Amino acid sequence: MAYTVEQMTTAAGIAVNEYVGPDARVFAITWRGRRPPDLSVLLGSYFAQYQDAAIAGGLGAHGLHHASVRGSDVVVEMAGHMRDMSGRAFLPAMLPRGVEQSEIR
Amino acid sequence: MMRSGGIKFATARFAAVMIAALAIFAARPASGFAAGEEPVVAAASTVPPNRLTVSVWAGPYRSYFNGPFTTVTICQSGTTSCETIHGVLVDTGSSGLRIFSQVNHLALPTETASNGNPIAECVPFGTLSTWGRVAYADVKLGGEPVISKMPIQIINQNYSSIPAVCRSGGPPVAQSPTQLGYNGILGVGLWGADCGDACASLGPWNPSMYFQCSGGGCTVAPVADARQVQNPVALLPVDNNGVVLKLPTVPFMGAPLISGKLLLGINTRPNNALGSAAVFKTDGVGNITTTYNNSTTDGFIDSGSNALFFDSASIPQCDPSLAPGFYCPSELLVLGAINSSRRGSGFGLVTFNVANALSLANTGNKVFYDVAGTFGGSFFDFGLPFFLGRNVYTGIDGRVTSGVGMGPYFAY
Repeated sequence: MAYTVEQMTTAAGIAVNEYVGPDARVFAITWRGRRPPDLSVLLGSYFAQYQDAAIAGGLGAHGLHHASVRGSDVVVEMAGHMRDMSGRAFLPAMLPRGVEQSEIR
Repeated sequence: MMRSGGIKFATARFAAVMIAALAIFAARPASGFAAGEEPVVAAASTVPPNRLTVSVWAGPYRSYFNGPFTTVTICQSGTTSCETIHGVLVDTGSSGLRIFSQVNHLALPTETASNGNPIAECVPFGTLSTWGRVAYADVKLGGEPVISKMPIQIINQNYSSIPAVCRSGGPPVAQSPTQLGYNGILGVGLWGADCGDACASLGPWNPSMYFQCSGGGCTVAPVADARQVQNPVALLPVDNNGVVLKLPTVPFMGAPLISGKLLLGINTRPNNALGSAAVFKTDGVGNITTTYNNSTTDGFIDSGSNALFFDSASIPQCDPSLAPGFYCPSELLVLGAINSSRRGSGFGLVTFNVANALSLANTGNKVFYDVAGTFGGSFFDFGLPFFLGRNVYTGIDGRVTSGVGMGPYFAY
C-alpha cells in the first residue's frame, strides 16, 4: 500500500480525507460539505500559492462554481453549488510512486 | 477545530508561483458593443412581464465565455432613484442577487442585527468568495411588479474587515467586476433564501456565511431565512415557483453571441409551460443522480458553470499551461449520461458533446455547446453548454408547480 487515507469530520461538519504517504507526509486532501474547510490550515504554507495562482489564472476562467488552480507545487480543484461543495488539493511532486491523480477523490 | 499538526502539507518551497494563465479564452475584440452594456436586442411590441432577455457572450468586460448575462434594475426603496445594472450573470447554481459596489451608486440601507450592527455576508463559490454588506433594495425584474425592500449583497472587498474564515478559509475574495468579468450575480436557483436554516441559528451546522460587524471586526451572526439574501423570483406575486432558461443551439465551432430568454415562473403563463419536459426532483441539498461511464455521482444543472465538468480517465486533457482543467479530444465526442430524480420517477438519457477546448478557443467565438472540463469532484456539473438548445427549468424549494408538485427540482 503506497499510502493511507485518514478520514475526519470538522466541527462544521465538513468531511475531510487526508492522503498520507509512506514517509508519513500528507500529499493530498479531499473534502465535501456546505463550504470548503479552512484551506489556510489544510494547505499551510501552500495556501498563499493557491490564492495567488487562482487570481493570476483569472477567477472567471471556469465560471462561478468550478475552479482548477495550478500553482508551481500545489493543485487545488473545487466543484459544486451553493449548498454542496467538494474539492481536492494535492502536491504533484509528492505523489508516492505509482499513485495516479485520479485516485485522489 | 481542525487539528493543526499532521494535516498541513509537509513542506514549503518558496518557488515562484507558476502562472496558470488561462489565456485561451482571453478577451478578443469581437464586437462593437459599449463597455458594460448588453448588445441591444430589438424589443417586441408587447413583451410579457415575466420575460428577461439573456445574452450569452464574452460579457461586459469581454473576458468571459459561455456567460449568460441579463439586466436588473435596483432602486432605493420607495423612491424613483434607480439604477439599471447590465452584465449580471444568470446563475441557476446559487440563489440571491449580488451587485458589485463599483456599479452601485445608490445609497442603499444596510440590514442590521438586533443590536443595530450591520450584517455582512461571505459566500464561498467554487471559484471565488463574495464579501460585502447585506443591503435592502427595491428590485425590478423585467416587467414584473417591484419587489420591495429585498435583501441583496453588495460585493465589496473593502467593506468593514473581512473575517478570517472568508479571507483565508476558502477561495479568494472577489475584488472587482473587471476581475470576474461581470457586474453582479442573479442567483435564480433552487432556494428562496441563499443559505437557509443552517444560517438562522448558531451552532456547528452554521456554515459561517453571515456576520455582524462592529469596530472590533465581524463575527458570525444568526440571520433568519427571510432576512437572508433572497432569490428575487421567490418573492414575485405570481411567477414565484421557478424559472425557465431558453437558449438556442449554436454551431459545432461555436458562436460569438446568442440571445435567449429567462422566463419567470413555471406553468404560470403560456410562455413558461412545462410541456413534456422531464422532471428531476432533487434531494435536500440540490442534487439529482447522474450515471456516467458506469459511475454514479451527484448531478446538478448550473448556468453559472461555463462548461460541463465531470471526471473521465479516457478523454485527453488540454496542455495545462494553455487550458488547465479542460478536455482536448482529437475529435468531437458524443457521450451519454443517465439522470434520475432523487424523489419521484424522473429518469432519462442525456447526450452531450465534448470538443477540443483549445480548437474552440482558437475560433475566437465565445459560446460553445461542446466545451467540457475535468474534476467533477463528487459531481457531474451540467454547465451552460447543457442549456444550449434546451428549455431548462429550475423549480424553487417549497413552491408548487401545477402538474409537478413541490420543488426543488430541475426539468428539461
